[in-house]
Amino acid sequence: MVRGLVRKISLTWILLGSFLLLNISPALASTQSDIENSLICPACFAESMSVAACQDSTAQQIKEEIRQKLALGQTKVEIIKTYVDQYGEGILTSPPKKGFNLMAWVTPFLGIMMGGTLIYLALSRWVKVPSVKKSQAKTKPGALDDYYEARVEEEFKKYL
Amino acid sequence: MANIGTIGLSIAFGMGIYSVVAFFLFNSNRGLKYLLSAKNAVYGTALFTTISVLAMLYALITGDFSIEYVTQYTSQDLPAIYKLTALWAGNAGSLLFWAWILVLLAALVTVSKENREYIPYASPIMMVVSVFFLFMLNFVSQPFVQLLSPPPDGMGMNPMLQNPGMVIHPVTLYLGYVGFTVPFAFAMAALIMKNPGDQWIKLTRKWTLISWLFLTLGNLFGAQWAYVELGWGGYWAWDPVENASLMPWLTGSAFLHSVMVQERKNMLKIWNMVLIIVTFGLTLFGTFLVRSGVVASVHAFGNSSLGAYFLIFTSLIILAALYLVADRINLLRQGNQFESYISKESSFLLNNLLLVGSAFSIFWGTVFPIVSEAVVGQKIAVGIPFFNQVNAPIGLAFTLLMGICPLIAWRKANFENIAKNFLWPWIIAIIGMLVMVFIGGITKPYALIAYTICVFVISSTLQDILKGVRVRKKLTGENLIVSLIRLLSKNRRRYGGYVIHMGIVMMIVGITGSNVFNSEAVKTFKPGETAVVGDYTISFKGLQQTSRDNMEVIYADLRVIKNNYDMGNLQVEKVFYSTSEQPMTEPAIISTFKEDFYVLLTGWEDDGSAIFKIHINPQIKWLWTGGWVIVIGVIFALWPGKGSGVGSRYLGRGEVSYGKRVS
Repeated sequence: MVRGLVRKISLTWILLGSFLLLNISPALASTQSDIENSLICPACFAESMSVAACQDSTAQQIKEEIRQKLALGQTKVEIIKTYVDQYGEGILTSPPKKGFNLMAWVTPFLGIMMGGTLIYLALSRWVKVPSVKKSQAKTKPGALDDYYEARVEEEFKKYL
Repeated sequence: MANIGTIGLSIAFGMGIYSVVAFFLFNSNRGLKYLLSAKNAVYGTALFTTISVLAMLYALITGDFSIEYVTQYTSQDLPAIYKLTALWAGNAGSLLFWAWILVLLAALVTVSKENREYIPYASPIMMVVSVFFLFMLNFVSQPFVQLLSPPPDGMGMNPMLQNPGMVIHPVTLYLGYVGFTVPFAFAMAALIMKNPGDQWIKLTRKWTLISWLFLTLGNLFGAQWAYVELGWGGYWAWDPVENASLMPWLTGSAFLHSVMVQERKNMLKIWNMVLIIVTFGLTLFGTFLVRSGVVASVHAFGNSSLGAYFLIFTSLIILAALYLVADRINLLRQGNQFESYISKESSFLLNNLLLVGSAFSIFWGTVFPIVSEAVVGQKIAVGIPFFNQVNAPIGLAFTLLMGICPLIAWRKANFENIAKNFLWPWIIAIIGMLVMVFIGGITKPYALIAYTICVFVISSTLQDILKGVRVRKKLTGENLIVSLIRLLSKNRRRYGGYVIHMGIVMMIVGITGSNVFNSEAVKTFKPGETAVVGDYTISFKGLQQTSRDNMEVIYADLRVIKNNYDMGNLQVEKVFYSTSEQPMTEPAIISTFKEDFYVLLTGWEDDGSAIFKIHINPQIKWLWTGGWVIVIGVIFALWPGKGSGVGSRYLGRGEVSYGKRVS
């Protein structure tokens, strides 16, 4: 019974922990660099280099455009949408979270969950709690306890 | 020179094949002479490959432009050091370099007395891999191809590669990649010999840990190179090739942890085999990615037919290895048991789950463009935002485990004990969090969680050391310092690991700070003007021009004052190389543990005013420093002598045997 409880508690704990961690996505420092990181420089499709990383003139121009659009009060989503409309989804540095592309996002976590389940199953096969009878488990204090404790300490010191 | 190199490579190839055959003959009981002969052939392969490498280096240094490779990657005005590093600047040369490290390692392994039993099986496995590389060098990507009419000068090296980072990054990374061949070969040898114990793990521990260290450093040097050379203010772009070097690092880290369960409890044998096979496979997969052009990458060596060969070879060797595991699976069955759901053993499983899970997510993201193209016909990019969002939670979770797992007891632990152990670390972490919110003014949840976890890991690690010191003091009556030093130095494996963990925590701090709090600004200055960015006051005097070695440099001296404190002059450069159209933007950086002040000269106008891009990247220095802390930890753990051995073994229910304390 205790074992079942322990199992439940640890499972809940792991689940809660992972949900907590999964729900926060790292917010980057500024919208500007966020957008620059979300778009591939149209001149660098072959290397799929982001606008942020790219040093050539096209990238510089797009960075400037983003800056102006932000200054005009456009939001991140709007700005990214204008570029997607212009160049297609290929310009995004990460797949959009819909349709088939959702697979990209979900699979890693599915993989980890499956791995976790496997570990759990393996553990429940491997764990053999030694069945100690209660009467045996509680030993009475004996006369030699002090002696044994001292011996143990003595032995232990050899390993220090 | 070209002839010496070519002949050297073909002799090496021949000897490599011969050694494999001779080892095989010895193993089929044809006599000891074949073993001696095979060993000599291994040394011969190493010798002749070395001769080829020396021939290539000589050709590069003297500028022998009759060799195509020399023409493609060097020029007369290239500084001498970069003429040498041109060895790994191109496809054929870097393969030659790789093969060279591999055959040297094979020779080292073969010569070692310690490995005597394993040599007849481990050496030929390493030689099979070597033969593959030598085959590539002899028939597919020949480094010594000669030109009919040698040009007067070469095409020069890509300016981006002319940086100290490019001297050291490929060397460390290759050492890491190639090093993992050793534990792989020993694992396979153990299977062939039907000796599935932990002997192969013990024999290769040094190799594994050192390879892991080189892989760590290789990645860090690469990141640092990107940071100081590419001029985008970042250091990691999740490019497929960067991923290719991170994946074996992750699975290698998992392997280093899970072998402890085998050493202590004689369990997880199959899993350890699989992990080392996967790690080795991933090192080859990285090479395949770089050289095949299947995924878009800034690192690609250009499209070549090499990819197909690598794919076939990698698949064959992995399949062979897995077949061997399947064939010997009965030997690998575990006799031992776990005694509790919560124990150090089971916490290692969780650690492995996250490390391998992270490697899997990176693998998935890297190949997703190919999957997507195959399934829906659209080649979609998978870049920075994807990898950050997927890996940040996984990374934080395993950082958390780093604080919890080392403190959980072997065999059996319980919640009361764990709760008691972690009471103080949690209190300190929560106090730390409150300090960060109310005094530090940090409000971004992500950073807050990351830092709190880091504080927790540090305090739980320190608490564990303190506890050990206290027990030791009580038992031996030594004073605090003596018992601290003795405690650490007599359990160097354990505490070396703790030091490495601290290095990782520092890296996590650096990664968090630089990703969450970075800011940037673009400023246009007229000569003599001053501007304020954050805490910094920058004054610009004007642009100047100079020439150096093989380049023309436009530069600006900026005087930087931070909070009334003179930080000195920064020289920001735009460099025009004689051999390249695009100029290089060389950033200037003032680096402190609080933040990096990173300036780029992005352009100028006719009136003499200049445009600067300024990045403030907090805490990046923690990332690099963490790398050095890891070096210290690995050296501490591996230094031969007393205290570097494995701890007690737990054989079965109730039995404990103490392993030899001397390694």
